[in-house]
Amino acid sequence: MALCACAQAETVSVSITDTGGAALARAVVVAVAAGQTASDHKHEAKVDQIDKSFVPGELVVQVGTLVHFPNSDKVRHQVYSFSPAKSFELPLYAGAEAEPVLFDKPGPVTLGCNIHDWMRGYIYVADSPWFTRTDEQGHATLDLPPGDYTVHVWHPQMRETEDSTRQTLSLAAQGTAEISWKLGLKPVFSPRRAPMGDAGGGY
Amino acid sequence: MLTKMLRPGSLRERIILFFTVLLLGVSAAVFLVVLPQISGIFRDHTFQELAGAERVLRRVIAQNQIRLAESASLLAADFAFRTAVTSDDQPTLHSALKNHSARLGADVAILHDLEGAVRADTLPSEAARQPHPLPSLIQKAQQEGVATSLAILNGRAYQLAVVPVLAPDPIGWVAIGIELNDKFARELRTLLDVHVSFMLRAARHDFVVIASTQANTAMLDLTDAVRRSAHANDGIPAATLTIKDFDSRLSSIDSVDSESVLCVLQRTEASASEIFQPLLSTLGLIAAGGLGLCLIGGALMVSFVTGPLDRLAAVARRIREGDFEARSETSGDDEFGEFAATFDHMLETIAGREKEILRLAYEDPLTGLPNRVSLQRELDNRAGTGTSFVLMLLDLQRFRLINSTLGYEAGDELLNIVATRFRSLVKATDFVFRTGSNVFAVICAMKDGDQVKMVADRLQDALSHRIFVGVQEVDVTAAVGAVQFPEQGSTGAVLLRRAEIALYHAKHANGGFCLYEPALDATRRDSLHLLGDLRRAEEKGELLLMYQPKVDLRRGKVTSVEALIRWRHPVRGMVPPGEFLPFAEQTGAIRRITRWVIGEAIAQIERWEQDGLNLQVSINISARDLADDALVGYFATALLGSAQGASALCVEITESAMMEDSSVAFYSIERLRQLGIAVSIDDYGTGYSSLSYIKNLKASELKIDRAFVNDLDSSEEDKAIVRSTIELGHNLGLRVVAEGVETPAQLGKLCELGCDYAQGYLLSRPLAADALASWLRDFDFSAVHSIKPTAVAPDGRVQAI
Repeated sequence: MALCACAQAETVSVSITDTGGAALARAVVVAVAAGQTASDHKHEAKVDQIDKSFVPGELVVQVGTLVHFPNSDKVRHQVYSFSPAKSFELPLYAGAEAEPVLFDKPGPVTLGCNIHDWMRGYIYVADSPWFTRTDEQGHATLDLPPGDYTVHVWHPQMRETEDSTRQTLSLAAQGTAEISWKLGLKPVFSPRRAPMGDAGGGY
Repeated sequence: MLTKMLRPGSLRERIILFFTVLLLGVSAAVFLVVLPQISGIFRDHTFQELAGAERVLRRVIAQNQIRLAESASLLAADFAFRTAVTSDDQPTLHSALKNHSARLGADVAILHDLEGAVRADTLPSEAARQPHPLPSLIQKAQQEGVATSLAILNGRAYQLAVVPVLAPDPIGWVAIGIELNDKFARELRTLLDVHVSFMLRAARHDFVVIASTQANTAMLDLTDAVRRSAHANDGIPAATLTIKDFDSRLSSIDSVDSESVLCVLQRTEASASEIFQPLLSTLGLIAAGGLGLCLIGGALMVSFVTGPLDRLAAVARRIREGDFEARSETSGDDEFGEFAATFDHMLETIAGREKEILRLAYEDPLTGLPNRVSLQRELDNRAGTGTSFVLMLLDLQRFRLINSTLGYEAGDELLNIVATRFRSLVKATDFVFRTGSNVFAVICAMKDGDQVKMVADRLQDALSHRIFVGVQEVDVTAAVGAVQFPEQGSTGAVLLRRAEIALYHAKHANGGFCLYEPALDATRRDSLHLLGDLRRAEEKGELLLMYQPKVDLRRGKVTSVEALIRWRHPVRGMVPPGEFLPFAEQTGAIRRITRWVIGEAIAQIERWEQDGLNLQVSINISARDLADDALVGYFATALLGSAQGASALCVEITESAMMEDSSVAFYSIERLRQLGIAVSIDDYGTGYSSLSYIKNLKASELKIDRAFVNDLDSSEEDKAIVRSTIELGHNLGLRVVAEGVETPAQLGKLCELGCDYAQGYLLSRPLAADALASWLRDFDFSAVHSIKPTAVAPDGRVQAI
């Protein structure tokens, strides 16, 4: 999902663990170049609802991305978010009836469904074109052009605020950098899925 | 009836009293013992009910919490609520909380942010919000998704449920709660039917009521009691308390804090006694009814028991009055029937025995004739009717002789024969009785006094026909004493006594028959009077002995004398022995007289001895004396001081006295003889003694009865008897004495016949001891022997003793 803006780029190795030292997967890593302003480019993305789960369960988009919420289930969904980055509600719909939602502010957005309490999805709206997610080993790489960056991370269970994770990074040409975080985690709070035999998904 | 039924001390009363007391006792026991137990059980039951109520209450609270949790979950998921929560507009948020909690029926709602700060609540006062109990609940909810508990907020108790507000990740915490207030308490009271109070600890030993269904005064009592109990129990009040009129159960419900809420359930004691009162009434009714039944049943039972008893008692009373025909006539298979049957049987036995006793009492068992008692009754009966009759007493002469020689069986047989003969002679209306061993009585209806002798003759004749006892022919005669009613006595007792007087005379005179006449009675009375004097005569020295010499016809000398008793009465002068001795014999006075004679005779022998006279003294011993066991002993004792000893004594015993009770007489005579006392058989010829008997007696002297001597010179028969008697005596080695010698002719004949001794007026009348001595000095036998019969005036028959 990383975007490559220019031909020359340097690689930043990212490593994230929880406070216990365990690798933290699927943490969002965003590098914001100093002086960078949000570009006004339009992107589109999609969060489907399949088998009463958001697919993908987590998505990182750049600010200004229009996200579609098609419904692949036979039942209707009512997708909502109370997140400060984007608060919205899609009234009950089926198929592709719902209007796409424009995510125009950076920050995490938690998705829910009013019909199915256990459905949960995350869209992280990044205010930078450089972002990535850690793999299962807690590793990720960012290919960034040389320059100064502020790098921060986000994870749904993270105790720390996003701001407190900010690290500055100066990247020289031909240089490499390594950056790492140790994050405290909140317990996962998952409402019970309705007893239909169908599995809950995501977080 | 009632007074009879409750006769004091009667069995009836006692039975009823017993049952009444028993029932009252049982009732009292029920009231005193069972009621407190029931009361205790009831109290336990009350406390059990309170415990049950408590369980229900806890269940209600638990259900409330589940409901609260559900409600809170719904609230937290409500989109509009979440919208409001996320709106950040405080008034909106506040009103949304209020609205939604009201919708859920909650009394309080609180919203926390994720950091634990209160964002909004519906509590009445901001100022009183601390301390806040929610953090610990939130912590719990974080782990379990929901947390419910009791919590104290601002001095009030709430059931709280805390859930996260999910969007869909938690964005805050919402708590809703129901207050434990009066309304809640009232609802519980409706459900549980007990008073419900909630109390909160205000200090270590202090509790305050925060909600209650009780009235104010009861609440004050409750607070007071709980405080006191807490004080007494280190801050923890007792689980059960009785507070004023209430049975109370105390339990605590834990809150999320260290504090707990005290839940008090109370049931009025009054409600217990309300249920108790009917029980008491019922028991009282049962006791009263039982008492009634007891009285009725007791009376019935008593009549069952006492009815037969009364009948038996009535029968017993009749028996007491001599009615042996009475029968209880109680039948039945029960104990009374059995008892009555036994009773009746006993009666029959007693009646039979009574009859037998009566028979024995009124009948002579040997002859079957009515006895003396019957005679007296019959006499009284006849005397009552006034019809004239004659009573005759018949005495069988010589009966003792037959008894003793032929045996008692022979005697009995003779009596039966005599009874049969007498009975066959009298008319059907007349009666024959046996009133003594050998005495019979006959009552004949008779008007004419002349017939009396005739009837007596007929009765005497009846015995003159030959009588065989076994193979032995016996000869019995009867002396008859008769008395006439009403001429000679008006009552049975008088008649009987007079008949006996007549009989006495008949036996001793009158040739075997005597009809009573008043003169007899007078003689008799006189005799009785004399008898009284006789008792004193001995002491006063009125008795004296006279001595009549027995003359030895061969040698013309006197060596022995017969002692004869005389009574010198101070008024009557000399009383002849025939007038007092028979009565002395009858009354037993003879014993003392005989002893006096023995003593006097021995003393006289001593005196004569001192004067140089050696005389053998004969004294007369009666049949009665012979039957006296102590007589021989008296002789022995009296002779102890005598120099002459027994050889100077001779006892004269009449032949009839010997025969009267021959075995006893024989024994006594034998013992006298062994003492060395000579024995003389007096009045020989009048009795019926056998030769062998006389031989066995070993007597030394035989005295021929004066009757034979009397006519000796005129009657050839008597002469022959005297001769043969003398010969007999000599053959048996006896000296023979003739009595009543009054004429020289008699004396001559006696000498001729070889008689050894003679005694009589011709020789000398009985003399006083001094006179005898001088007579002896002057006595010249040859002079007597040659004397012609002169006017020796015989002064009648003098009965020698």
